[in-house]
Amino acid sequence: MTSLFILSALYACLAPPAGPDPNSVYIEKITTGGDGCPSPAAVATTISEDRTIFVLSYIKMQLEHPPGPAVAKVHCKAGVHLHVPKGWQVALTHVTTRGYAYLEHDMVAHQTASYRLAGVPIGAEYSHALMGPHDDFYQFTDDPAATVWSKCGGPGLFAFTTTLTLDTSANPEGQAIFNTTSSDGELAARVHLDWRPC
Amino acid sequence: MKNPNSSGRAAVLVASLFVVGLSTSSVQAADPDPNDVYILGVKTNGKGCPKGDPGTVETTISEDKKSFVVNFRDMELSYPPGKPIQTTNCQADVSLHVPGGWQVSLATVTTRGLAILADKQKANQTSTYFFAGNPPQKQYHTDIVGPQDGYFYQFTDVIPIESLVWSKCGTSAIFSINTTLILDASKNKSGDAIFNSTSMDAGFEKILQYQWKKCT
Repeated sequence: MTSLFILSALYACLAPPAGPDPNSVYIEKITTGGDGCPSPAAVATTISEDRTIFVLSYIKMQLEHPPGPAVAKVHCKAGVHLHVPKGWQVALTHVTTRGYAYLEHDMVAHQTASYRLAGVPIGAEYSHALMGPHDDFYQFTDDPAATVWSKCGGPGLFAFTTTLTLDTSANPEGQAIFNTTSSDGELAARVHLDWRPC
Repeated sequence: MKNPNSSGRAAVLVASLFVVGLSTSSVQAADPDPNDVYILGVKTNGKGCPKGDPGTVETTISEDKKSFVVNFRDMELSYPPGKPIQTTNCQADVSLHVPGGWQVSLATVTTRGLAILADKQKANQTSTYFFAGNPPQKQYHTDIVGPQDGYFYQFTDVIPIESLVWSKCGTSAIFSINTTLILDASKNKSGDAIFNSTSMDAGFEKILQYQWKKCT
């Protein structure tokens, strides 16, 4: 324990200042909407202390069969509002969607994530499929920073939409559960040198 | 389910002693030291602890802000009624203050509950751990197979020090713990099942303590 306290003292000078630095890139807020997150009560939003990491935890991002039609769909659109100082570009990276799927034979589930940025014509879309029989948790990670960057100095408003689709038409007598419990990601990370000075 | 009875849930005693040693020597006054690792807050949400109904969950953070307990009220599945396969979950998103030069991981998590299952019915409890913005996760599964006429379970997950689940160096972090229950009565649809929490006050209880190390 002695060494721990000595090291703590050494690192005192590196403690981050309170509140975000206006000259840095950070998440100002996250807004949500969609049938999978119809009200603020349906989604919990947590932003890290340095405002570069986020996680959204859902209640209603879930499809079940029966009941319902043979093909069902649910989505949640998150608006990630970023503070972008002059001379910087930003992106989202390491966006991971996690959940669970129980699918009986011949059923198909898709998780699709699309990333768009206000004022930028090019977006990115990633789709991941699960085929029944399947009874397991899943996690899918996308790296929209590979294609979608803000203009220099912003505006930094990312629209990040997660959609679940479930197709039970080939086995309508079977049971299915398909959900997303959370999505998490970070701003273009310092350690990955994704912050580009313009 | 894959990976039933994960081996990570075996070595309970040794790791618990280790954790007690750490936490005892780092007890502090009410104001946390900014150069230390501590919990800023915990948010919970999921089908089993809906954010819109705050009475479904009770979260207590210890005085030294290094551990917390979550008590669940509605983390319960029962059959009948309903469909033979059912699931519920509660995710706790824990904001951590991580001073420059350190990274943090989770040491142990204990989950408690009750299973009543008819012959051939199956209950699965899964805990998933990850840092937001950091794709690797650690997952522990346990299957309970019927008949069980009232099995009070307690699972302790010990996350190894060299586990993949570490925050990044020099950044603040959000650690997420997703607790999931799955009930499968498909192999005995005429039997009764309850898969839930133990105590009268809540059911599941998670006791969390963090371990930390210097960045290299």
